Amino acid sequence: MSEANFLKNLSDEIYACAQCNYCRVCPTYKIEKWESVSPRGRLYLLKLMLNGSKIDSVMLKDFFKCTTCGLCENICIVDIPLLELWEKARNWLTKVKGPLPAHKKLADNIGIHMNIYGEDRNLRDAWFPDNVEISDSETLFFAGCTASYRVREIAESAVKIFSRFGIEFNYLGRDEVCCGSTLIRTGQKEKAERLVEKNIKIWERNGIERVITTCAGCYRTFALDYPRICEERGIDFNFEILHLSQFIEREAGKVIKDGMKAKLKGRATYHDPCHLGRHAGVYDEPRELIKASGLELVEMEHSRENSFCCGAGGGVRAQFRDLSLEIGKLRLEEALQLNVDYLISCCPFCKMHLSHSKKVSGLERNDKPEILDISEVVLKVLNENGF
Amino acid sequence: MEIMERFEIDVRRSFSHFSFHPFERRIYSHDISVLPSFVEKMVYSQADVIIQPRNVEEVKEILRLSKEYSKPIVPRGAATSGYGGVIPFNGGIVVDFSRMNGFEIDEDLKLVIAEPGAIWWDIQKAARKRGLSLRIYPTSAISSTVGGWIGQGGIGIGSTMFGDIKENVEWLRVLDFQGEKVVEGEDLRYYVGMEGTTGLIISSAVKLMDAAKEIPLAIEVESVGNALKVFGKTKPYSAILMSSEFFRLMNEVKGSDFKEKDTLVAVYLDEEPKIEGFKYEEASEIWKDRFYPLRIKKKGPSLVSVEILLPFEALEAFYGEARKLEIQHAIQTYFSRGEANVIVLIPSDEREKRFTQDWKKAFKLLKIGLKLGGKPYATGLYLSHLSKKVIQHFDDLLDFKRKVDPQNLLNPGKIFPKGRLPMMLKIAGLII
Repeated sequence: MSEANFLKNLSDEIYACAQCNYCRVCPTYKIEKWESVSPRGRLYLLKLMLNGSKIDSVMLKDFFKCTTCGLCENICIVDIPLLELWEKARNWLTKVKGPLPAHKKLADNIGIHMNIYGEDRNLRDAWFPDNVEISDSETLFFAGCTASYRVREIAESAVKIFSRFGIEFNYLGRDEVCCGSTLIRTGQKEKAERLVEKNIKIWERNGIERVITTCAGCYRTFALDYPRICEERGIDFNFEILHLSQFIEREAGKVIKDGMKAKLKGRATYHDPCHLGRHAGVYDEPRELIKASGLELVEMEHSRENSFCCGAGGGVRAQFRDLSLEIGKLRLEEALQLNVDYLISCCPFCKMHLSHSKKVSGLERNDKPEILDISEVVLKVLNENGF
Repeated sequence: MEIMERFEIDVRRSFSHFSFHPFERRIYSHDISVLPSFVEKMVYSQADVIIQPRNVEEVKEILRLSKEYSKPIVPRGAATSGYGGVIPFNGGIVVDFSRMNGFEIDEDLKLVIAEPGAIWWDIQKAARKRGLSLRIYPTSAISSTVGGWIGQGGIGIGSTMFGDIKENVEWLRVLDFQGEKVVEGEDLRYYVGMEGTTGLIISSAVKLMDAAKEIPLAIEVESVGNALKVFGKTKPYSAILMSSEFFRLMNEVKGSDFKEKDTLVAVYLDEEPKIEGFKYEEASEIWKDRFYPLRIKKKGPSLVSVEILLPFEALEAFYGEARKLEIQHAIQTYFSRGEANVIVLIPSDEREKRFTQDWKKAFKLLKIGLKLGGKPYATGLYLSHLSKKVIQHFDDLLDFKRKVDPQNLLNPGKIFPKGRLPMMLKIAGLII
């Protein structure tokens, strides 16, 4: 599609921007403080392009500094569907200009190894504990790339929880394929579509009806992007998609709350992953589980719909590492103000990035807050009770 | 070496946060206004550089560079105004104060001492934690800056009780080519509302009050006179009259169910006045929406607007004229002490021919307002040809400007007309 035609289709949204700057809440803008990276600046750039201006490499990079966290959409006074707009624009810019180097690398890694990290596909299931059984259940546990290769304790905790509650589940091991979230977020939707088809075929072949994941990015992609892409491509999509926190709360929340006499002690705050919270509207289940574990839950200044991104999303961690860590530090500072023992999230990518942000903030591994995933919290309380 | 090259080298040597990038310069060379394209062509130019000073020393350096290279200085807050005050129409240095955004609250004196880039709502949140509150703030408080609003002047939320921004500034620290000054009392008029044409505000002491419970009440009114009578009997902290058309548009864009009637929303502090009929259950919801009048832009997607300060006695006649406009529009009137700021918002579409026609109607309203004894809310760049007529003590202010800025480098063309542009804009106003 030509520049003019593509942008014309978005013209109503682009012109609707009131330039009110309420989107100054943008995490990237908070760090960089240049309007070219702010939502209103990016909309102004699109408006200029709509009127014939050409984008250069500096502006192209600025355009991709967005973590696609969606906070701008949440605050936008004229209700511009900004998340969708950023993704469409990124997709188009990538077609015209090619992906940014780190984003291309992600796609190459997936193309060769089926994971974003370029790790050996044969090691994808290396985290799987020996004493947990896989069945041919119609319920699939999808670990995702980050929990499979980088934050394995999350995947491990999840399947141990299933095992302790006697929940039968299937796991595809080395046959598990990246969900494609990063590709969609970085403007490489067409490449992601191949993964959609691949995953669906594997699921169908294994009789899967329900997919449970610990990863907020995978969840968002399966729950929101897959049905949309399938509809566009005329593919049936008949799967129930659940985040681990939803599933555990539904299946075992009451047991954890009332049946587990030994409770965890301490003060915790919850970081809403953008993909799970603002994008998909899952706010309560993780909080219920934290409370059920016995931890005192306190909220950060930015929570739920107004939650502040960890800084990793949208390909920012891959392409703009320093910026992403600076954003992560801002989030960490909010937790530090609350003097909490635990900063709990529901996403391996958030946990990994917040942990790295903690390290670059000069805090020691043992310093508070300890960064945990909800799966680890639930497993801790089960362990406390010898369950 | 060319002057521009030397200038660039000097900037690079002196500052850590600046941009010469063409697009960044473009982005920092506009405000929220959108004008008919032939007018935009007249007024839009591009800054030579954007500098984000971090402290007073860097602002001093900007002044030095400005003088040495004869580069105009255009101070910029959040650019949430629409009079062209931040447009560098002669090029020069746009000074983005977003990195000078610190503030301190003096609980004893009930003052906030703020750098120019401090955001009103950040201050309010901090003040609330200390049992204090801003006395007045603009409806754009969520993103607008202290320096920006003081520079532009005007009235806002709380002005019904506390007057305009000038009445709420205790003192200012300003920089000009002679050095640093502390300004207070009567001398504030040389800086408040002067768009940075007489000096750069580097610090402001703004008055606070004890935090109080806000009690918003609302009543449907049959006329503006009726509204004045109702709130005149009490002492509201803030009073806003919203037209039925405003609610109609809000309902359309927001999916809300506000009664589509002319409604006076008055907010009281701590104590609810006892006036019959003055309690409309949606008042809290309307009050929460005070920061979002521009929501109706969604109807456009563009918006044409005109803001006029009118004496109370002229309001009825003005509303009558506005309602003769055969066009979808909304009116919001913010009451201050003795005058009111009437904002007429017209959803339009800058991509269509009617955009120019809609501006024509807005200008017609401005002229009607002027005839009724009103004045534009601000003159900025676009209405500088009206400054002499509508700004009190204009000649005195002009003398002052010439004294402190003989080369006319401080935001030239704003407030004080410069060159042929004001005449061209006046003619454009007659044409459209």
